[in-house]
Parts: sequence; C-alpha cells; structure tokens
Amino acid sequence: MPATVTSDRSRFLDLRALAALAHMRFATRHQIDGSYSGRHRSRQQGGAAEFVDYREYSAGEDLRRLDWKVLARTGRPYVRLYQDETNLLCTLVIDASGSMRFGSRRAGMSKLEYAQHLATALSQVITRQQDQVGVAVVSDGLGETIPPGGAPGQVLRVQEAIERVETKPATRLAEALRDLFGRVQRRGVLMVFSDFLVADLQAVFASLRLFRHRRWEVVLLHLIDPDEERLPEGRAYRFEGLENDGRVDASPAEIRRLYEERFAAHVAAVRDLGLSAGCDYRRVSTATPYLQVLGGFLVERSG
Amino acid sequence: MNFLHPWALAVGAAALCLPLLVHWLTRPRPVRLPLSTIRFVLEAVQQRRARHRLRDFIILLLRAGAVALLAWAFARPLGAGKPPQAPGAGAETARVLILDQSQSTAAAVRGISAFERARPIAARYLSGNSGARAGLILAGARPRAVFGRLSSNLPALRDELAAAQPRPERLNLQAAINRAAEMLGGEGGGDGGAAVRRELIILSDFQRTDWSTFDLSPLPKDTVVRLESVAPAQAPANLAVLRVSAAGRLVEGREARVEVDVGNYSPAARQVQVDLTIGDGTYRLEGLCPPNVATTLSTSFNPQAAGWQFGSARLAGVEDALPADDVRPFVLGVRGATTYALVTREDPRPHASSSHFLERALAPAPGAPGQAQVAWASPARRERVQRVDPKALDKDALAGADLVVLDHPGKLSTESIGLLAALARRGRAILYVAAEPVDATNLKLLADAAGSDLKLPVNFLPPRPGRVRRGLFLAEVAKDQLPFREFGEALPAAIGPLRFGGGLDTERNPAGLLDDVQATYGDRTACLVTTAWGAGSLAVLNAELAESNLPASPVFVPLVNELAGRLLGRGPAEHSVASGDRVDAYLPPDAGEPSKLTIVAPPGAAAPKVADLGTVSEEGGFLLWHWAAAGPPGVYQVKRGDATVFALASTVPPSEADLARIDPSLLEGRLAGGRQVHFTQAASADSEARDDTWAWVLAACVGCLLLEVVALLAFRT
Repeated sequence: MPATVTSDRSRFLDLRALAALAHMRFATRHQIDGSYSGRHRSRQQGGAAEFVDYREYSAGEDLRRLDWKVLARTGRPYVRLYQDETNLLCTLVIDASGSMRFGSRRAGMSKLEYAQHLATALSQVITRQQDQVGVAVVSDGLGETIPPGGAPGQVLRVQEAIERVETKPATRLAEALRDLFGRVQRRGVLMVFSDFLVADLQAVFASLRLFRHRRWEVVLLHLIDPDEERLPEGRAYRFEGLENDGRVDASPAEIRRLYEERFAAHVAAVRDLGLSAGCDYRRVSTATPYLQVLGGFLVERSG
Repeated sequence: MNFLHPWALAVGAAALCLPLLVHWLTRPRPVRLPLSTIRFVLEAVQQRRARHRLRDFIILLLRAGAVALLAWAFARPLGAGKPPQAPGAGAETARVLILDQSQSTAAAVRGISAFERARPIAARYLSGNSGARAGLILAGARPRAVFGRLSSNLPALRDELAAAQPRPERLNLQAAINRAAEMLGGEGGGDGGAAVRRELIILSDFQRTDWSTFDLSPLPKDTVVRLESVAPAQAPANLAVLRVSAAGRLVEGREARVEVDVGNYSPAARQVQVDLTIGDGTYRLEGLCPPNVATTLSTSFNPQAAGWQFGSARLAGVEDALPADDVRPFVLGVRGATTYALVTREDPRPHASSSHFLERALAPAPGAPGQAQVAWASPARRERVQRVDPKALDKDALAGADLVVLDHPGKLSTESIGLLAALARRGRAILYVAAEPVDATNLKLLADAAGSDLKLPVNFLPPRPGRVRRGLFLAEVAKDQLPFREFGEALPAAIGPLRFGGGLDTERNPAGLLDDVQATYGDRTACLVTTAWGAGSLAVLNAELAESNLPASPVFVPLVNELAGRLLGRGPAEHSVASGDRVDAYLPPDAGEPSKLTIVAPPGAAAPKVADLGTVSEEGGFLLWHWAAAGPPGVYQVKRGDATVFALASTVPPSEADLARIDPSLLEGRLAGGRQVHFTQAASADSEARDDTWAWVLAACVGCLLLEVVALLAFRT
C-alpha cells in the first residue's frame, strides 16, 4: 500500500490521495428519492426537471403537462415527461463481525480497515458532490447508525463513526440489516462493505431484498483477503476461527483444493444471490489499493 | 508354527508401533493462524476425512501387514516333523528327550542348522499333556539334564530348550543315554500305580562319528525309543582344520615344521588356503585336499625363543556348513637347549666307559683349537648332559631333564622306579642302556610300576649262566624307522661292521608290539626297543657299549642323536583338548607353587569365569591342572605372574567336522541291540520346502506394498 497522508479528522481519510479523484462523481444507476434537488435522477417526474419523452395523454392526467403544441400540430394529446433530479442519500453499511478482523500479510491490512478506508473515501466523495451520506455499523446487531443528512458536520460525524468501528465476535448481519430497514425512511443507496462470511446467506439477502423492494439501490462490496482465496503455504497450521468457531489443525497442502472449491462456491453464491436480488455486486480484493478500487468504481458509476 | 528367530516377532511387534511413533515424532508442529474462513477449512477437513477414511484404513492395514509379514519372514517360520505320538489313553507318560547339541548340529543348510530344526520338534514333544512328565537332556560332551528328574513343569523345559544352543563339543551319547536311563528308571509304575509309558526321544543329526556305537541296555525294558533325525538329506560339504602341531620337537633356534591337517568332507577335491598365525608371524599354507580325507599341509617355522607359542589356523575364503571348525587355536611348546640326565654310577672322569661314550655322543665337547667342528653340532645346539648319581635320584634331580638316560645305574630303589614311572607317564622320555644283569631287574620293576601304560615287546632277562654275549651283529633293523631311517642307502654298510657285546637276553612278550623292536641281533635277541609309555616313551639299547665297537663307529653319534630325537619328539604332538572334555594336565616341574598360579581364559564374551577354569593341585609330587570340562575354543594359560608356565588350546573336536550321518538301518538293527527303535527323518524334502515359507511371506509383504501403491493411486483419482 502506498504511504498515506491522513487528516486530523480521521486516520482513514487521505485527502491528498483523494485529490486525484476530485473530478469524479458517484452516480446511481436507478432513480432515487432525495431531499433536495441534485445531480441524480429522481424518482419524481415533472416540474422543472429535464425533459425525457412524450406519452399519450390519459384521462385524468394533469392538463398542465399536456403539450399544446403537439396537440395543435398532430391533433392528438400528448403529455411531456420530465425526469426530476435530486440529491443522493447514501448509507454506508460496514460489517464489523469478527471475520472482518482478518488481514493477511499480503493485504497489509484487515478487511475492516480496508472497509474503513474505502467507506471514509466514499463519504468524502459523496459529500463533496453535495449528496448526503450516513453510516450503519452491523455486527452482532445494528450498531452505531447515522442517517444521511445534510448538516454541515455530517461527514465529520460519519467519518468519526467509521473510525470508531471495532469488530465483535458474533455476526448477525441479516438481523442488523432488517433493523436498519426498519429505521430508514427514505429511499437511497445502500452500500454494504462485508465479507459475507455468515452462516445463512439467504437470510442476509432476504434482508437486502427488503431494500430492493423499496427501490433502494444496493451496492455490495464483497471484501476478500488474498489468504482467504488461497491458503498460505506451509506444512501445518492451527487455524483458529475469529468468531468463536473453534480451531482445527490441518495441512494446507492436503485441503487446499477442497478449500478453494468451497470458497469459490461461497463467492459465487454471494454474487449470484446479490445479482438475482438486483444488487450491484463488486468483488474487492484487499490486496488491491482501495483508491484503485474506488477509482474504478466511480468510473464505472459516473454517468 | 515355530520360528527360527522368534525374537524377530517381538521386533516386528515393536515395528508395528514404529510408523505411529515416527508419525508422532515427525508430525509438523502447527503454526497458529487466525482465519476468517475457518468453516471452509473445517468443511474441507471433514470432507477429506470422509473421503480418505477408507483409504487410510486400507493403507494402515496394508502397511501394518507389510511390517508384520516382514517380521514374520525374518523370524523364519519353520515346518516341523511329525507330531509326537499321543500317549495311550489313561496312561501317564514319562518322556525323556535327549537333544544333541554337539558342534555338528550347528551345521547349516540354506541358513538353517540342524539344531534349529530340532528345536521346534523338541518343543512339540514337550508340549502340554495332562499327566505327562518329561525330562530334557542337552547332550554334549557331558549330558546336561535340565532337572535332575522328570518334571511336569513343561514350560520351564521349553524355556530351557528355547535358550539352548549348539556347543563346541562332541556328543557323548552313551553318557546321555545312561542319564536318561536314570531318569526313566525313577519313574516306576509299581505299588499299584497307573501304568507309566516310558519314552526316550533322541533328536540328533546322527553324525556317523558320534553314533558308531551306543548301548540302550541301561534303559528300562519297556522304554519306547524314538530316534528322530534332523540331519539334511545330504550331508553338507564341510572343511575343517583338524590338527595343528609341530613335526617333532620344537627347539629354540632350530627350524622345524608345523603341520596343519585339513579335513575335506565334501564330494570334490578342494584347493584350500590356511592362514597360520604363530605369535606375531603369519604363514600362508596352500594345498589341494582330496575329498573325504584329511590332508596335511606344512610350513617351516623357526622359533626364536623358548616358551609357549600360541596361534590359530584359519581356512581362508571358505564358506561351508560349519564355520566353527574353520579356525583352530593351538599351542606349541618351544624348548630351549636339550638337557639330558645321565643316571649312572660310573666314574665321571673321561675314560673308555659306556657313560662317557653316551655323554660325548649326546653333548659333543667343543672342538679343540684347530679341530674341525662336528657338522651337526651347530652353535644353536647347546645340549647339556647332567650326570646323576642313582642314589641321589629324585624329582629335583630330573626336573630340568628332557631325556633321562640310564646307563649302569645299578639296582634302582623302589622310589626311583616310581619316580621314573611317574615321569614317563607324564611324558618324559627314557633311554635305558641295558648292559648288566641287574638292568633286567630294573626293567622288570619299571614294567611292573608302569602297569598297563607300558607294554614292552620283549622281556629282558639276565644272560643265562655260562653264556657270553659277544660279537653280536645286527641281523634285522627297522630301516624305515628312526634312528636307522636316517642312514638311508648307507645303512647296510654302516651297520655291517658293528659288533656288540654284553646286554641281556630277551624273550618275546606277546602283550607288546613286535614293531617296537627296532633292531635284532643275530641271536634273535633284541638290540633296540622303542615303545610308548603313557605320554612318554622308553627306549632300551641292549648292549654294553664298552664291549662293543659301536662307540668307535662313525654311526654311533648320529645313531644316538637320532634315537634321542625320536624319543624327545614323542612328546605331546598338540597341546590341545576338545572343548567340553575333561582336562587333567600335569604342569611342568618348574611351575612353582599352586597358590601362585593363575589360570587365564582367552579374551572374549564366551570365555568362562575364572572359577570355572578348574584347579591346580599337587598330586604325587607333580602339579595337576584339573578341569571338569574344557571351555569354549581358545588358548587357556596357567600363569605365574606374567610368565606362562603352561598353555592348552581348547578346540572343536575334529570328529565333529565329518557331517556324514550314520545309516538308519544300522540304528534300527545292529546298534539297537535287539530293542525296538523307531527312526524317523524329520528333515524330509517337504519340510525343507516348508522352510521356504519365509520366501512366500516376504513375497506377501511385497504384495502388500504394491497394493498400498495401487490404493494410493486409486484414491487419488
């Protein structure tokens, strides 16, 4: 990882590095609800928003949207369709389960630290484009939660909350997401930073589908450490779980193939479940510098 | 199933634990590694376990099987002969088992000795049987009964059997039979007791030399005798060093020949090499040994110092059935200057007397200045003649004498007669010049004192009154024997002019050997008689030298010296004893006090303890080393301080080298003495085949290893 220059606000905030991404914006792929007018397409149509298309008039529609000129020319009533633009409400969900504490030498940092770096940078980018950002920490339940807001010190509070995140041994990601779903009022973007190492993936995605049903845009950032993909070399290890799930002695050479098959199946399951739920899935290796990942993500998202 | 090397089974059992132990000792020490995806590791481990549990079980079985089979093969499973006949119903059995543990039973064919073949058969005879009482006699030079009487403690007998090994001894079969007879005789069925079935089982290789004669008559009449042979079908080829000795007397500084007898008991002639080690010197003897005979190889040896020389003769490059007899230790006694004791009452001053002539002949005086040396009187010869007055004749006077010469001794006292008889019996040589009538009495007394040790071919008698013995000439001489053999073709010319006078009349003694008469006068009386006397010898020259022209003849000195040489050369050819045999050896007179003597065994693990080396005691004025049974092969020394005063080599009995077995028909017929004897051959062809079981077991072991590879390949896919 390159040397970073952290700010006083958060040890995970590297403003100099983020300066390279100053021209980039985070854009949504779906229409969203926002509090204020902004750069993002709103779920609301009409008003002074951007013209999109014509549609044949139906009885009962607002006559103010009727395009009289078209009616005069063609003799058929059409209404003008406008795409409203609003600001982004983004909630960063950080998984603080015990498994996120894992970090290999090759990665240089734990998955949680990686998520903290990435989330902090994203909060900075989102705030810079006049969007609102919030954070929710999930582990054995819904932890500290800061809803997206437009207050002047919002980003500061969010980044401080991100910095304070610590892991807890247990994982109840699905329940925590449901709790979060119950608390949020307005649609927006839910960005989940997690390794998805949970006992019941279906329950997690059932919770995520709740967001999707409410037209949230859900972005899954699947954090994977290199040593999780491929067991380290060595004769024998005593593997110890990070979430009170015991220990086991094994020789990596003997189980490497089976392990990799199972881990690949897990990654594929997360991806398939996410895509089938309409989520945006992105696999993130913690061996890749987070700025590179963030840059790629924003390029892909820039509209 | 019995095994040649049962200890290999214990090693195998330990080896079964070895893979686990090695695995435990070499298992990798795991490095602690926290891992978020441990559940995938757990699943992988569990899946692997489920997948490979069968494989691991099969591999473990195959490996353990391979190790067990390997141990089994090393243990050499043996087939055995027929099972022992079960005793009659309701009858008690008294069974004595004689197990031949003589050296010949160590002869191995295809790596298995006859003794090892006999062991499982013997164990079967000693297997459990209610009411059975058994005894085990391990038969070598002496019978060694495990218990003094029959015992029902069969496990103890089997333990002794398992620990028994062949001994470097001959088989004293009769002693073992007598011992068995004592044990079986003590098992009476009288007093209304139940009938006792007596059995004598002899397990042996039935070596011809040990079984040429035996007597079963000491056994109770109703004893069932079963002879079970464990000899291979064909007598295995064997070479052996049978004897190592000096040809004649070894004298310091005088070159002599050392002879080695090599026995070739094989159907073909063999070119053999013998490495002979004497002290620090090594000699290589080579020769062709015809089959089934002993061949004498010899080499010259020049002893530089008097004393005891030890060494060994070893057959080089020989692989035969019995390696134990391929090497033989030996002891050679090298004498210093010869000392003669001249017992005479004649005047010692030089004059024409019989004793003077003898003295000068035995120890020539140094040549006067300007006078030529006698050709045979080499500087190395420092013979010394010590005159002894017959009245002062005692042990001390004769202590250092190699040859006692009696000439005109007059009437010998009884003590003198006893002393001379004792000396001769212990190996001393005596030359008696019979010139006076009283000598006939002395010789008669000597013959009486010697008893059966001395069988003179003639009896010496005083000349008949009125008969004058004069002008006698030699009519017959043993020209092929010493001392006359040395004259060769010149013998007739040499002895023709000789005329003798004096001496004694003689008459033929039927108890003696006529061949011991070396020369006869024209009147048919004996001139020269040489005969064995115990371990020594006696020569009688029947003549009055003063009345003969022999001293003036040029043949006199060589004749006397050759005669003395013959007598001195009759000493013990080989200072050896067969291992296990009784030792009664007289020590040299100058050995000293018994309390200052120690007996030293040869170095080696098999050497007996000092307490088992016998004792030295004084007997009849001489020191006697008594040893109940000679120890394992090697040189045993009697020492006074650091000096060796006597040495004896214990050797493998030469008779054990010939591995030919006796014809079984002789055992059941003539030698059985009319007794019903059952002879069985345990080492039959099929049992030889069964002895190859180890090869099949080894093949099965290899099969297990191959199956393991196949299993590994199969489960890998």
